[in-house]
Amino acid sequence: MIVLLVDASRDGVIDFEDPLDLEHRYDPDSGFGGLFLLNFDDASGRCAGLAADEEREACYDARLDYIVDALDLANMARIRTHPIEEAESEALVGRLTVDVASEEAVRLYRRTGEGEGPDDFTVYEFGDPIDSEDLAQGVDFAIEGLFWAASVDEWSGRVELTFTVELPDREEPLEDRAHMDVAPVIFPNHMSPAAEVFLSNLGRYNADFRSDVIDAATQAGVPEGVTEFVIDDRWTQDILLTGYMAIPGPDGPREVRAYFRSANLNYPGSLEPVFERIYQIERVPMPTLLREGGEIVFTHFHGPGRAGRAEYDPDKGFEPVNLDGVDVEDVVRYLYGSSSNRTYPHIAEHIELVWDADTLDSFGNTDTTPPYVATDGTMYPFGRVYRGHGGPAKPDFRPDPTLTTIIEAQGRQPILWLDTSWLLVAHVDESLSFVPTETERGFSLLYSAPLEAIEVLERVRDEMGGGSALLFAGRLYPDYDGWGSTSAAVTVNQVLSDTGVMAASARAAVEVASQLEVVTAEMGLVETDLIPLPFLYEDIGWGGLSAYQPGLVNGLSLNAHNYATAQPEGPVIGGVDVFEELVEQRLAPLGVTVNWIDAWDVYHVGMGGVHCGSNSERVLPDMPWWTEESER
Amino acid sequence: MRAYLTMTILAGIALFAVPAQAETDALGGAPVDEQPPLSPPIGTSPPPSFFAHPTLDHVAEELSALWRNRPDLFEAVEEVREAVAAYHRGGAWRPMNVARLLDQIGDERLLPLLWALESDDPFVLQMGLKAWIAWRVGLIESVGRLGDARSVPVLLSIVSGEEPQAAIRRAAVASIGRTGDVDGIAATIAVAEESVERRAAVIEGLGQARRAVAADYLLRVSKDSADRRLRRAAVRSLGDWGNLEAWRTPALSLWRAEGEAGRKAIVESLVDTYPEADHVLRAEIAKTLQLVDVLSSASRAAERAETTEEDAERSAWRELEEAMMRSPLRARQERFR
Repeated sequence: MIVLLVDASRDGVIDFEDPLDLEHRYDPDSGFGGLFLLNFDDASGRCAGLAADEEREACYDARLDYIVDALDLANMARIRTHPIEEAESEALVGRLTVDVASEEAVRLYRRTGEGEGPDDFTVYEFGDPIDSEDLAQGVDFAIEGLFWAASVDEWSGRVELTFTVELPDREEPLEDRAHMDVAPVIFPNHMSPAAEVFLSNLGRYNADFRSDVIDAATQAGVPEGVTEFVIDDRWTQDILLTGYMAIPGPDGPREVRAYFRSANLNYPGSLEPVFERIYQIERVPMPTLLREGGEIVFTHFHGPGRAGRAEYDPDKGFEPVNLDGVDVEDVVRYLYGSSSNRTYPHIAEHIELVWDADTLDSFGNTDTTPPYVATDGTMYPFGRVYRGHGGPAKPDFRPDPTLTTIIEAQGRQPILWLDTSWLLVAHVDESLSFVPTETERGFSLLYSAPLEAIEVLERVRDEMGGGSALLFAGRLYPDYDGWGSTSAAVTVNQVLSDTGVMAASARAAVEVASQLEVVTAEMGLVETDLIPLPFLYEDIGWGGLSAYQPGLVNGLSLNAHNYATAQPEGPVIGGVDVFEELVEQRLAPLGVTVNWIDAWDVYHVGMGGVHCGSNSERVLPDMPWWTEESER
Repeated sequence: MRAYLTMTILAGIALFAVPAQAETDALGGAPVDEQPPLSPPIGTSPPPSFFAHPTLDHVAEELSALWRNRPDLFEAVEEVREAVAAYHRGGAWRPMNVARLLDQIGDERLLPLLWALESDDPFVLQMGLKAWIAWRVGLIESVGRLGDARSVPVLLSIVSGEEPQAAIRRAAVASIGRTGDVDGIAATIAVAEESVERRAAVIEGLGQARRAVAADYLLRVSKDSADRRLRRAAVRSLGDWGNLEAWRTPALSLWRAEGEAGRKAIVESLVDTYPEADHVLRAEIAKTLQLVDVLSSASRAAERAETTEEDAERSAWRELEEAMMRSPLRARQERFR
């Protein structure tokens, strides 16, 4: 009997008596079939302590051609051949091969030792002969994934395994096949409660913020509480994106958590010599290519069962600049608008392209919708990733294609794109946010409502006599490391007369409506699913808009009952902040308590909110991801 | 002889200046080798280069007086610049609101800001490129918020000069626009008409120039430009120009009549050209018309749909009318009508 078996039933065990394993071992459209993991973690912790980004990025277990330890082996899916009775008496030759496209993408190990430990497995070269003695016993293999599907030409993420057995009296070998799919990275959504919250610790500068978030997390019962990183980067959301990969195991799912470092660049890689000179002028050491804060992916996370990844292109997918024969000093003078011998508009344009698009690679611009069925009937049991970009009007205003391609190639959470080009920071979390709620649908979409903010202030002025009431009372602008601070307080009358704020808020209303059209058309959301949260916008001089009042939709969803967002700093009438009251009245009936966070200093004045200044790992769903596919 | 006497007098002044320094030291000042380099501190005498910039000719005297009498203003600008440089040295991953920092100096900040725009040297100031761009955009934005036409020569020189950074040029155009100075705006448009390289930045910034001359130019570009990117940029800027919420604020009351005429012209032109536009331009037109006048746009689109004999045109205008009826601005504009 020539049988090649994988855990097609996805119960964690290869069982020759299991009809599901047998029936679906080569049944690619069934929703069953073997699964294997990308071996991107560092099972033995050998990578800890590496300091250079290039070394860290290259240090993970798939780079080794041996199995490191028992954990490494446990995370590898197994493949087994059925013992061949005839092999006891005949000289048979077996071989295991994979399809051509998969040869670069996976590595096989074969158990050659007597035991079941990592040392009992050695690398198996595709097609190497297996002798009769081993065929008679049945052969054990382990498989690891080496690359994302997106990184290997022509590879879909599916491996077609072919087991052939050559018999002495047959010209054609007998064969059996099985298929296995690489487990995707699933990016969790807010329907899963926060398991752990992450903050940057900037000492006294954000002490109030951290204290409030910790209180909120405690109140919400976040299981692993709050972890703080002592780093000089306040935007914890931007530097880290969490996900998970999992396959069935004999004792439950085998999980590897994934942690992505943002592809934010200090400078375009191909212009390193130019920026070397610029940093000399600035008298600072040349920084690493990637945003420094993101190194927590390696210094804090990467290790056993945790895969730290940096997926990026040094020029963000734009054509690199060729500096051969170029006078770097002259280029630098040109870039500063100083007199130069030549002009280098292509270099200025390249920097502008890379720097402009760079904000989109911050992970405040990447989130996941809840699971839903689209209006065209497509099911998204894990939701879809949504990101901001410039759309067809501004095709160059888009995130680094590297991560985009990885997500798309997986096919599970294809990206839903929204136009964020009207925003200064241009992140999706500035205008939209999904939160779990006690509604028929199970979630609501919070969206920014600047027109309503104008109307609230008009009511305060006209109906409550509050034209002189203050917004931002007691607050100071700005607080950059203690330099100079003046009162931010402004009256309702002043705000309603501010040409810039009124114009920006009207523009924002039109743009948010346009985003909502995309989301509602895709997800079939109706009016009762949408919750407006009012706050105004402004333009600080770069042409894009930012929150003038603290951004209420830029909040941290802790669980189905707790949403932490910035204190609105609105006018207080009758002892109550009118915006706080409105938001609480809107969310309470949906079972959501608002945890108000003091996010003014450092965050709001720094162009961000609570979501931007925090991050979280979510509780993994009880039902393994593959169950969704198997049940379809 | 005259030259000899002049030299003697000057030498005498120099000799006179040195003993004053020695007297200070003798009275307990810091030892000579610990003193800062000799340069006139802000306020003691105007640096001669005030008079060497054509763009500051018209304010050179005022600048000199301010230098002597209000050194605190120039020091305040320096402090902001240092804050900008320091922020960017720390790795600036979000924009800094430089303009707001400068606004806090107060309404008398115009001339010191113009001086900074003309005289700052990034190499001397040791500013990184990102910091430099942020500094210049912030300076220009804060100048623009004063709406003072004395800023136009400096800003125009940035628009028309060799500035390589589009963000800086765009900001300069917007700030010229905020002065409301028709000659300045016209000169800015002339730059765009002469220079393809500068055209995009001018069009993108002109939305803040809420005078008829700017709307006329933007309307022309929105209809006639062969460059789709420029047509879209012009349509978008028309949305900024004609933004009804902006026109309702007191600051624009002086030009209200121009605003009404301009918005009417925008509605007519963009509604009429809607059917010819591709879907990307249509989306931009729809946004602009919402900002400018939802109700008039809806009416005109309905009227055009009823009177045309072309199915494709009728369908396009109906689509536009429906977009206007869905607009979040509709209820508000109805209330104010």
